[in-house]
Amino acid sequence: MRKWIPILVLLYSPMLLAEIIEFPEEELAQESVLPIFDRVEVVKSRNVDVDSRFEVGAGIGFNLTEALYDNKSLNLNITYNFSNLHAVNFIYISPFTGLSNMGEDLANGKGLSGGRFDASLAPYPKGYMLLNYQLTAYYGKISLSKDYVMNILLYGMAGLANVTFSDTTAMGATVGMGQKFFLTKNLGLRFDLIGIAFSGPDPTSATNLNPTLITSQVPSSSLEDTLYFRTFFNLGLEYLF
Amino acid sequence: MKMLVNSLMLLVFLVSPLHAEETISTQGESYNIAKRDRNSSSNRSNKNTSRRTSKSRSRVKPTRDKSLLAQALSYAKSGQYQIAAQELFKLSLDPRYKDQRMQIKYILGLMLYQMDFDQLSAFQFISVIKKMDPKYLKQSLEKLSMAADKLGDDTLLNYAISRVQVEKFPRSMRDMLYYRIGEYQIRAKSYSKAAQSFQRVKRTSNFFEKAKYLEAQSYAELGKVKKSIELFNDLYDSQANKSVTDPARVSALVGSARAYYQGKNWDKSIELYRQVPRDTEVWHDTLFESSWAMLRSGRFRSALSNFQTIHSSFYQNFYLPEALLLRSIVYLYICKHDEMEKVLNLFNTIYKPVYKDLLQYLKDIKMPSEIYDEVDEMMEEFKENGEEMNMSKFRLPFIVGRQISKEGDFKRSRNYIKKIEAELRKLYQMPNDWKNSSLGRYAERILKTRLDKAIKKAGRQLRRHLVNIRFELFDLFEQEGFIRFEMLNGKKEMMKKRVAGKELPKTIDEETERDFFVQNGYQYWPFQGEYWLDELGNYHYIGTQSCE
Repeated sequence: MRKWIPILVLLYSPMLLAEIIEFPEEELAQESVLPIFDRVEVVKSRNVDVDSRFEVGAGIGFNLTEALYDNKSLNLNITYNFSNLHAVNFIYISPFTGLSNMGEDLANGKGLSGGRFDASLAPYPKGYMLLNYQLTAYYGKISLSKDYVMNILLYGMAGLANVTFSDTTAMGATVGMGQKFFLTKNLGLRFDLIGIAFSGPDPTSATNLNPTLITSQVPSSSLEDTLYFRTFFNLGLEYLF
Repeated sequence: MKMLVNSLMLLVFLVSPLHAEETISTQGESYNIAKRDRNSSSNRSNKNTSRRTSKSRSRVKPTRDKSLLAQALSYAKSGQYQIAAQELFKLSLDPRYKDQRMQIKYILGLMLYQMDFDQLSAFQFISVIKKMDPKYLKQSLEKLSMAADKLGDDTLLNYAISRVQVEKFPRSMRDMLYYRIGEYQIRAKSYSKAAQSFQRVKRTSNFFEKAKYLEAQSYAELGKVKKSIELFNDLYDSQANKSVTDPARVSALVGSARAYYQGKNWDKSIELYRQVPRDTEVWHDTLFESSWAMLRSGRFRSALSNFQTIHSSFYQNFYLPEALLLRSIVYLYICKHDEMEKVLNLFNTIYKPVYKDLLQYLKDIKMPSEIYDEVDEMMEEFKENGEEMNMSKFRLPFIVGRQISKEGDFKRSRNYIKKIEAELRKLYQMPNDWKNSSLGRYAERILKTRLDKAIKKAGRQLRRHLVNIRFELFDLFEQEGFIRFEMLNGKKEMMKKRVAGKELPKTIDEETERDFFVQNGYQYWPFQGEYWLDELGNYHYIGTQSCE
């Protein structure tokens, strides 16, 4: 970490040979109230005007509440903005296949009093399709250095989910929030935190998932259903057309 | 003072013949209605069984007459205002009640006032005042003031003032009287007399703040800057315990800043302008006015900082031609000829079409009511949809319409028209028997006549402002020509120097390695084309002058 310090210092130090203009104190803001207009509009001539525009993006994500399977995923998203406030958004999340470290341990019988438990022998989610209504709660800007300003957008979303398992599908509900940081007027970083609730086959309800005894995946019909709450943290790049 | 009131009476009659004529014609209307009412009542009595009643009424004895009035009064006392008003109206037209007519009219006015028919009630009080019946004069004046205040219409009140001597006014209304007299004197440009009238308004009066402001303004008009500042300060001090955004307090501040500007004390003027709170309506005006003071005191950077706000997108639909020319003048002073040309071109791009459209509009539209309707509709739509409204559907340029709609006289007239419209709507919502009664028909006719005349008056006010804008723009185009000439001259001089090999200073666009210093606790960032409400007034121009 220490090697970054000189770089950060250089980034934030004033430019050499800069001309200095001093502002009289009385010219600087004395109060933090807003001027009055007939109609209140917080911003004019927006740098990032999303009204009637498409956004397309892709990135990676993490299932924060997944214990048995690999929690990494890829995601694609497409958004259509009806206005600067309202939008509809489609997200496809494709989880990585395989088991998590804990899942591997169970498959190898670690921590079990005899026997093995291979969750990959049970049906597991292969893809999530989310269709959300998106509402922008806040559009603003952030100045990380005195020479650089970045526009930011905070939004909430809610909608429906379709979860595809190996041999079945399930419907669910989603709710989430996200934040975009616009690097330019068209390109931005997108961070989403999405909660998905759906009902699906429960691998732990299987009588036996021992890989030494079972060679093929058990069907969903032989497992009990359970209600899942999954939390995804996605991040990626997004382009505004 | 008597002489003053008498001359004022004359003045009022000369200045507002419309109103005098209106009042008389209204009286005419009421008598016509009376005749019609009697005819219709006798017609009805011929057709139905009430004939006997009608006949017996015509032979009614004085005692019976008194009982009719007593009954109407008992309705009034018991709060049955609708019935009482109907009965009193009939009695007010009845020749048998000639002696009690003023009493009846006064009480009828009270009933109508209670029913929120302010305009109708004011007419009753006016007719009492006109007859100068000492028994009801003071009460009528008092009630008329209240009704006129609710209506926001001072023509009725001014008419009453013109008819009555100051001494006859109730004591409680004297301050109002002095204030109104002062207003008249200001309109007649008798500033010295106006200041004296305003001075007579007591500090405890509701009119004190307005009167003190106008008194100070009168002295400013007389060129007595010191006295004017003294009075503005007095007003400001009297509001010291009120909120910083209190209109009187802010007005005192602005008035004082203007007076210092008038006295060529630019620094003090700028200092006071800066104290005007941003969350007040007048702040927008002070921004532009302080830019003038900055220019006069040679603070070009500060003036340009202000222009960044004034010419932001928040003001794109505001009528501010002078601000653009002022900006170009500041650029001229600091030899930014390229920037100056951009600003002058912008001025032409915006205001030449406006001027052309305005000329055409004034040529095409002659009816005052048509102008009023257009501006009223424009403002209603703006209120509903903001700047996303369809501006192209109006023949009048939106920025001009918006500008003239803010004029004080028109605002007062429009406010009054809205009150009359509301009163008319209220009338239509009354029960059918009331609405169709002689009083209802009389009320409808009065209100419609008032509405029609008020709309025409407002339309004339608008037309006058449009004509003023036309002249102003014409004048500004001429000034733009002079400024452009100076710009070309400046460019020529710079070219000469360049040809002679003299090194010219870098322009702001070439300056990339610059920094500026602000106090601790402040944050700053570069402007990137996006305007934020909370940034207005906080822009700081960091360019330097390009002159040698």
